[in-house]
Amino acid sequence: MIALEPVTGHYLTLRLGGEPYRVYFEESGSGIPLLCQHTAGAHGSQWRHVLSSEAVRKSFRVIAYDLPYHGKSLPPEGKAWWAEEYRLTKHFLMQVPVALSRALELERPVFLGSSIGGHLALDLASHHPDEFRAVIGLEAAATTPGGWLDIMNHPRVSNAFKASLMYGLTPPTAPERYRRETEWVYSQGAPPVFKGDLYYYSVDHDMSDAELAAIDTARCGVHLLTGDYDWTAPPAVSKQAADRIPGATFAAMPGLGHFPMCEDPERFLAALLPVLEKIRAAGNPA
Amino acid sequence: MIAWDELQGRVNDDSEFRLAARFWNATLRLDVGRASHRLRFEEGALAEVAPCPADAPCDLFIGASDDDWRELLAPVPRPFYQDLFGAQLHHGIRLPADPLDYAAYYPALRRLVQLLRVTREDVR
Repeated sequence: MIALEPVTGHYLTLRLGGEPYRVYFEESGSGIPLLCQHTAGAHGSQWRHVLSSEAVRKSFRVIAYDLPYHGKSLPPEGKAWWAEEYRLTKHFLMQVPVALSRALELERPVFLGSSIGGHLALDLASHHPDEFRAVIGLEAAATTPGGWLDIMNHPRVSNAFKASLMYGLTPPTAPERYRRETEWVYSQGAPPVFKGDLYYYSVDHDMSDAELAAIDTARCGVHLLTGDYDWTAPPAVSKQAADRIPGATFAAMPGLGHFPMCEDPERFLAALLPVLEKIRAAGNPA
Repeated sequence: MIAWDELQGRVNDDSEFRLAARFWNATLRLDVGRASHRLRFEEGALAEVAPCPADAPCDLFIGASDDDWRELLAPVPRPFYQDLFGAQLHHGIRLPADPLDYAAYYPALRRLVQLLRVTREDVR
């Protein structure tokens, strides 16, 4: 008998900025919706260990989506995207989980994201606190300038450079097979996408102390977790952001890097589960 | 610190390195503290390892103090020493200023550093 994993995939069409985008997502479990955002230049398969975790699935409906232009979410059919530079903006990125949540009629989901997803967690808590009961930002920061580099989409450099660079953001203590899988996922991205995503990561995401201080964690809880091997958003900058947000929590994750959910899932789940339990126990603060 | 006489054999016997270094023709200078070595690659194979002056001409280089090299080549490196780019940003590792000079062969450089880790004489 074939042992199917408890994960199913679906497509739906979201209207984003007036354009229809066919978006792919995978889901598992039942309970509180948990929307999972992958890192720049990658796709939702990074969340496969969370999707298949019995400890998560018993209380949460895990939904991991591919952003447009990533993974199975192909570019839109209604515009000549090939004639313009791909660039991910904060405005567009924030629309995706909000539109997906509304389309699936989710009741104030929890948002969980890493890297650009971690940054997005903070932007959503600031701009859409009524849409989400809590956000969990992995490798998040108020700002991470300097990463929007031409070398990330240069005709003389293959995707292998980007992928290898991402391997270097994983911890040396993680299982080698998962470090290599993380690298592999990066080598799959269309050439302009990683750099285009870094526009959001390093330019468009730029939160002031005042904006962070204005986040209302009574409406939308904020929890930040950061691996100590992450050289692009080290724990100190995540803590600095958390310290600016009244009521936010922060914890460093020893022995994890920039891709905790896929580079060392066992160690990551040990850090994530207490946060999910805290959110579950708090109920829906709306 | 590094068993230079072992390096050529280790590199040329390493299938991951040979895949990453395919078509590579270049000279790489490694500046380890005050001592420099020149590594010459021909079609992806390490053809020669030899001491050289610190200012010897090369296509690219990796440089650092003895202490930074010890950290970079530790069996389990401390945070940010696990990667050349990260170690350049946060520690004392030096790379060419223009990443275009080494990006195409970054996977090969990464593997070379891993092979240098296992040729460290002082941690055996």
